[in-house]
Amino acid sequence: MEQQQEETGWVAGQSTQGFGAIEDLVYASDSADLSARVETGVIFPVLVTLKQGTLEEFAARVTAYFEEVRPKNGMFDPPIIGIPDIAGESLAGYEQTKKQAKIVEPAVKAVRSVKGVEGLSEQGTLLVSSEFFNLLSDTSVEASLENPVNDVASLILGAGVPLDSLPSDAVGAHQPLPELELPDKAPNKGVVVTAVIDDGMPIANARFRNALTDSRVAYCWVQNGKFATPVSNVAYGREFNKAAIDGMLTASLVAGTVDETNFYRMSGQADFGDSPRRTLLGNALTHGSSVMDLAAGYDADSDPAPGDNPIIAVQLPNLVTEDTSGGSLDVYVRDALEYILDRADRIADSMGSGPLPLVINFSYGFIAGPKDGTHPLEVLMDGIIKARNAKREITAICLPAGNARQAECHGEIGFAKGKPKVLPMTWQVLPDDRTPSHGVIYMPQTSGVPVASRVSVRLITPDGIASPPIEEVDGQAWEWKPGGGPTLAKISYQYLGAPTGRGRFTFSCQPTTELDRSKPTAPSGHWTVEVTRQALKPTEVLQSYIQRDDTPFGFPSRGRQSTFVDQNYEVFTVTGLPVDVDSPEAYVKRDGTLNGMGTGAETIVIGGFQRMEGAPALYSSSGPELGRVGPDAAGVSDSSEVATGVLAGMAHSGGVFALNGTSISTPQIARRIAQEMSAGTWSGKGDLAGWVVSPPLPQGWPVTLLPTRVGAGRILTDPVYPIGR
Amino acid sequence: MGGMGPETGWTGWTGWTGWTGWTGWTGWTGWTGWSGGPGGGSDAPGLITTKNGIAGPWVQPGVPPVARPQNNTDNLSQLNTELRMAQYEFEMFSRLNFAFNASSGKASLYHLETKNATATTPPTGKYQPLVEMTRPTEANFLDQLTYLNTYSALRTDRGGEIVSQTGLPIPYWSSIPYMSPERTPYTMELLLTAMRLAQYSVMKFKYTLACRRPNEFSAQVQPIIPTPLHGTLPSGHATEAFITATVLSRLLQEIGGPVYSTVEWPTQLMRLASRIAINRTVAGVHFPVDSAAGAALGTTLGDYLVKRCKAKTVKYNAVNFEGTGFGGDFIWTDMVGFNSANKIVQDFSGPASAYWSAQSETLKGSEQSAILTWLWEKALSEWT
Repeated sequence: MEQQQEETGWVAGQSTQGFGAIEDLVYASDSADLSARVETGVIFPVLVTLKQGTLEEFAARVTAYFEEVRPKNGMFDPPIIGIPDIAGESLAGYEQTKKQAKIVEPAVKAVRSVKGVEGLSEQGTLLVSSEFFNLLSDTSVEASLENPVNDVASLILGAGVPLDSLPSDAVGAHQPLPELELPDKAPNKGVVVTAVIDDGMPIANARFRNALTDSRVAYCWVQNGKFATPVSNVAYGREFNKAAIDGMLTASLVAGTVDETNFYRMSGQADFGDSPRRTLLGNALTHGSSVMDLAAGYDADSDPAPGDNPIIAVQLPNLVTEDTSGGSLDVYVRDALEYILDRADRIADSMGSGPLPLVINFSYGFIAGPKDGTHPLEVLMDGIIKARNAKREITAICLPAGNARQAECHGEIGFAKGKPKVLPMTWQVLPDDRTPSHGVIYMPQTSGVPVASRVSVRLITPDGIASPPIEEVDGQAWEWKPGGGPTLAKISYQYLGAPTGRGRFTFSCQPTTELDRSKPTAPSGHWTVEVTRQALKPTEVLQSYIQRDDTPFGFPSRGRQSTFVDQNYEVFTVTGLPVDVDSPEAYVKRDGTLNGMGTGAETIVIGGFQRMEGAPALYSSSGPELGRVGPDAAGVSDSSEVATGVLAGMAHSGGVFALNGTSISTPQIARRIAQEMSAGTWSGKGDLAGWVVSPPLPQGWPVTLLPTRVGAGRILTDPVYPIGR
Repeated sequence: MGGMGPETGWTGWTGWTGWTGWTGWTGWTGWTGWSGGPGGGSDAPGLITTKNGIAGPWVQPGVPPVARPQNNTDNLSQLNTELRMAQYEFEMFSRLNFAFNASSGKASLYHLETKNATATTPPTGKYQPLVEMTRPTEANFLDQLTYLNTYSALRTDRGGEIVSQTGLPIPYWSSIPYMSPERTPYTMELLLTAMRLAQYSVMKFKYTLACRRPNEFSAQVQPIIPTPLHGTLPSGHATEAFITATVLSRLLQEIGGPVYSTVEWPTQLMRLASRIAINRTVAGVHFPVDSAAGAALGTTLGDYLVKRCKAKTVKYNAVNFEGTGFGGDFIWTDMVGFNSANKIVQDFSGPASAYWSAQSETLKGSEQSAILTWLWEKALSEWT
């Protein structure tokens, strides 16, 4: 067996129980290659979910463990840099204030705790060095203290933040705003807060102003902005409040108009003298410019915002957007949500109001996930909505259904009676793919690893070199290291504990091309993910997803989307029309392609349809998923079959461009929700069904109007730009 | 081409043989050779025969025409653009000179203030400063190189503009005010004159200062258009763009009225100039400091040219651009502002004071160019 493995290159992999998932994600995320991190000095935000204890206790244990197992004269980075806490107190700061005998209790625990979820205690962000991962993954070390990784339920890595974007004492210098307690009363009439999380946020655009230098943006957090010294109220990046934005608008006035290029230079959102990560708003168009305009853009003269409509904008770091797998997303999104909730309360406080109606638009998506409402972001968002809506319906979070219906990235694996017991799924990995590719297979829910393995899986290279089979053994992994060289591919199994409670196989491979010849590359071509039925029942179905890996709009091309290839998957009918129904013979499915974070119960998930024909967009992702049947409703994503997209604003004032996708349909619904909230007529997401219209489809149009596609139905909002399209 | 195909012309060559020989009427077919021969298509043969046919015997005229006024701008309208351009260029370049001081590294463009010639003596004159420049060091340029990386992110965004702006970006200027060769031919001549002034001036500075292009610093710049052969600083596109914006905005402001006196016109023109300049950095062929030097040269020459078009004694800014004093990105609003009359003015204060300054010089009204004044008046009259 050993010799065979030597010949094939497949060797037993490293995968620590409970930690294996992070290894695979680190390996598969675009920020992989940790050894490079040590040299460049990068801080990683990591979203930690603990089984027991608090984050502070965990951080202290990690530090103590580090001090024990690392030699004092060794050159090691300290593992824990800090605990950023928007509304609370950072660890270093806590120590400082303790010394000054001014102990401030960390606030906003509600967001941090994962109350009601069995087996989990706290969830939050730590800023760590790569030493943190080295330390926790090395379970072979002899120590008197227990490896703190045993307390970890899950770790999700955020995109690394270069050290030079934060001064070395940045975390300690973070001064959170004083704690806030809002009166428990109804919100002031006519007020609604619209929050948008996206990239390239054009906060200087006239669409978000009441007057020349009077912005409607109450708060903007540029997460990859230049850290403010000496005082920053956010743990990383840079925040601007309305006063600061109005000041920058005034300072950018040239001959009576705002020079928006100068504004973004001041705000660091288009700074060509700095890191290449800060150039997105130099472009004419960004994803965030369209989304923000549709959600909250109004013409102050001709079509002003209804009532009082302050905006909170959070700009995600460019690195996150580039990593379309969403692997780096969670940390920043979690912090963005916490920030929005806190600042919305401060807006309320400034007007003597109770908690204000808040609609958050987050037009992002990815393909792979448990799709049962238990992704950490789904748990987080559902929790936020439930808690904040306890007394009044004042919170909505809108997400896009996704654009993956035709992506051929979803495979459904079942072994009904009469079907062969081996299913080989062809995984097409493209050449010139400069980012790793990976996919997953989710098992049905069980409480713990099942005694009898339900399936075994092999990963087979394009040349037919098969891994040994992997079964449902937590932490089992095989790595392909041909010729004893670096790992080129990996397959592993982890059991994801509560709240997911499901086993998961992960398969991944390195980029298929590297400019630096010393870096490992995997062969492109047709890999096979071969699933063999063992104890699986004929009625049980597994869901397999290939994670999103393409190049997002506006970025240089790096990743290429890998897909399944299924002989039985028909793309066109014999007459050339696109096929929109799934075939029972094909394992690749169009159904079940909803956004990996869009299957929670409380969020509002929006699909897309064409205004003219009334037909759902072919690409608009659909259910059914374990978490839900389909999106909640569909919004306008295209004007017509030929006039794709919807007109929306661009980065600079005055520009208009048609962008399509469920990213675009969603903010139009968010806009309407905000209008209803402002008018006091919003009573919850059940209202959407009342907005639905039912125009018939054109004769013979090859799409369906099932709830899996359009949820409660199609919502025809007034065009934000009513120009003849 | 007279509608005759080349085949006919070749047949016509055989006609020559016939002609020489006087034999055979086939010689006459040689006439088709006039029309159809290589480079053919001339009316001359037809005119020869017509004159012979209609002129008749010579009749000596008794009265000559009235002599035309000499050295008079009335004669200019009887020329064409190409011939007038020769006049404008002579007016401009006969009053310019250039020198380089090797020890200070200062390249200087001078204006010649003349005293008119008399009946017996040639003109005399005195050179005074117009534009002086010293170049950045190679280390300064190396600092600037990072912008070639960061601005390259805009290549897909600006690619269409960059390619269509490789020549003179006339369509872009014409898309702001209502300009076209048919509607405003003299305005186009004025702008062509401005661009010619910019072109020759910037070429002298480029040659003298001899600054290396971005792709000489790194193999990764990889410009998306061919890097021109001349030196990088100042940027020719920036110089031409800023002289055009300056001259055009002065013209519109002199027209005045409710529309052209607003600040929108010079604002848009300046923004376009800046965009054309920055597009060259996006393309990978210029540093931001090149655009700043071009803006300095272009705005100064633009103001100077307009003043040369007036028979008025006025002051102009003779500027000094210090290449080593420049750092960071090119920001046009640091260098140019607007006064209370919405007029473009050069700004030597604030961050720009690190790299440019000015001293005041005078142009005597009596020494300026009647030809250029004529051009200016003609351009003005095209606008209502």
